[in-house]
Amino acid sequence: MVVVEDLCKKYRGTPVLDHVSITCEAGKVTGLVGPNGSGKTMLMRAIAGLIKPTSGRVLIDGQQIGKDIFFPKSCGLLLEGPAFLERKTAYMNLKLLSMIKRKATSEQIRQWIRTVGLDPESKIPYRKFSLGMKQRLGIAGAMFEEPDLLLLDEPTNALDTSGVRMLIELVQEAANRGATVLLASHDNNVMHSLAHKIWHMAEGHVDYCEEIEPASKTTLEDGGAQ
Amino acid sequence: MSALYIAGSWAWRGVRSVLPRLGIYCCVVALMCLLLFLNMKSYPAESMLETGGTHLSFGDFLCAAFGGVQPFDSTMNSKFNLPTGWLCVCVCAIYVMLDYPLRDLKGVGTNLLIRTGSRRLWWAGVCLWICACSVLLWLCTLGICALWTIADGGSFSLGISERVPESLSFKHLLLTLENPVVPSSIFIIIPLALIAFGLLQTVCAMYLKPLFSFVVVLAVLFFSAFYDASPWLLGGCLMICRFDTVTAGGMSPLIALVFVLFCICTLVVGGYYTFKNYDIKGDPS
Repeated sequence: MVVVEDLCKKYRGTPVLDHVSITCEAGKVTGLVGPNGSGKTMLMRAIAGLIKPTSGRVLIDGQQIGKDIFFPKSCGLLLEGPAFLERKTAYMNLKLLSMIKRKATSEQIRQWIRTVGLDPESKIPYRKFSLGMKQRLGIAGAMFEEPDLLLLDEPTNALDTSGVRMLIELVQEAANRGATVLLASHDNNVMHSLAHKIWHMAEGHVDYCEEIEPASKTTLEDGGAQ
Repeated sequence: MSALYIAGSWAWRGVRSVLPRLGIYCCVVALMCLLLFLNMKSYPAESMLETGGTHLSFGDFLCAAFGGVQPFDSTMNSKFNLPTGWLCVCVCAIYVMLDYPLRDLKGVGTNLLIRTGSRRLWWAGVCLWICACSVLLWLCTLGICALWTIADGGSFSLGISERVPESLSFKHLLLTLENPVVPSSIFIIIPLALIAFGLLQTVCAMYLKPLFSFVVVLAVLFFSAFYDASPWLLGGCLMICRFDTVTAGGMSPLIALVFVLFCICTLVVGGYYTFKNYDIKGDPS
C-alpha cells in the first residue's frame, strides 16, 4: 500500500507538487489523471524515491521513502517512456535488469518478451525497435519480476489496439496477485476499465478523487481502445 | 548478487561507453609528443649533442603531455604563457569523464538504481568508474610516451633533456633546476589528481548542468596554471614542472599527494551526501 501525505515539491520556489495526499491500495489499480504539467509524473517519481520532497512524505507499506528506505523494495517502473541499452536486444536488456535481483529466470524473461508480443530470439537491437515495440519492452521491463508496486506513466503511448488489450490484461493480473498499481494515462477507456479509484490532478495538487463502481467499469469492447 | 559486483559491472559499462572519447584523448597526447619531437629535431644537431644527446627520454615525452607551465610571476616582468598543450590534454581527460553517470540516470540507469535499492551503491559505482577512467587515461599516456621513446630510440629515464623545458615553455631562467627530473611519485599523483578532477566535475554536475561543471573544472585548471606553485590549486598536481625536482621552490610531491588524497576523500563523502538528496528528474537534456 502506498500512502502519500501532504507532499510538496518546489523547484526554484515554484511548487510542482502542492500538498498532495493520496492512497493506493494493494491489489487495486489507482489512476492518476490530469492535463500535461499537472504533476502526475513528478508524483510518480516521488513515490519511486527518485525525487526528494520539499515537505510531506511517501510511505510504502509503512516505510518512509528517503528515511527508512531509498526506494520501494519491489518496484516496476515505466516513466516517460522506456529506457534501455540501445545496442542490446530485448532479451539482453531484460537479462541485464534481472541480474540485480535474480528473481526471473532466463525462461521467464523469454516468456515475458513473448507475452508483450516481441520475439525473445530476435537479434534486432533496441535502437532499431519501433516506438510501439519499445513501449512493449518497457511494459515487460516494469512487470517481468512481478513487483509489489507498479508505477506506469502513460503505458498506452504508441501501443496499437492489441497492445492496449495486452496491457489491460497484464495490469489486471498484477492487481489480482496483490500488487499495488498506480497508472497515469490520458486514455479514459483504459483508465475506466482498470482503475478502482482515480485521482484528478491539476497544477500540482489533487482536485478530487473519483471512485469507480465495478458496475460502471467499461471494457475495450464497450469503449474501444484509443 | 554482491554489491561490489553490481557497482563494478555498472562502472565497466560506463568505461566501455567512454572509449570513443578515450580515443580522442590518445590522439591529443600523441600529437603533443609529436610536436615536442618535431620541435626538438628543429634544433641543430651540434647544439643537441652539447646538451646531452639527440634522443628524447621517456621523461621528456611525459612532459609533453603533463609538463604544464611555470607559475606566473608579475614581479619578474615576464609574460603569462597559456599552456595550450597541457590544457588540451587535461581538457580531453576531463571530457572523458564528463557526463556518463548523469546521462545514464536519464535512461536505463534509473531502472537499475531502483532495483539496487541503494543510492550508496550507485555512488560507489560512479567512484569506481572515475577511478577506472583515470587509471585508463594514465595508462594510455604512459603507453603513448613509451611508444614515442622507443620510436625515437631514447632512454626510459625520468630525466628531462636540457632543451625540453624551453621547448615546452616552462623554462624559467631563475627557477628551473640545472638537472630537472620528473618525480617518480608522479606515477601516483597524476592518476589521483585525475580522479579528484573527475569527482569534482561529477559533484558539480549534480548542482549545475554537466556542461557548466565542465566549465568550473576548466576554470580550476586555468587558475592552477596562472597561480603559484602551490598544491592548493588542484591543477598544479597535474603539472610536472611545478614539483621541486624541476623547479626551485616547487611543491613537495608528498604534500601534493596528501592534498590530492584529502580532496578525493572530501569529494567522495560530499558527493555521496549530494547524491543522497539529488532529484532524478529524467528530463531529456
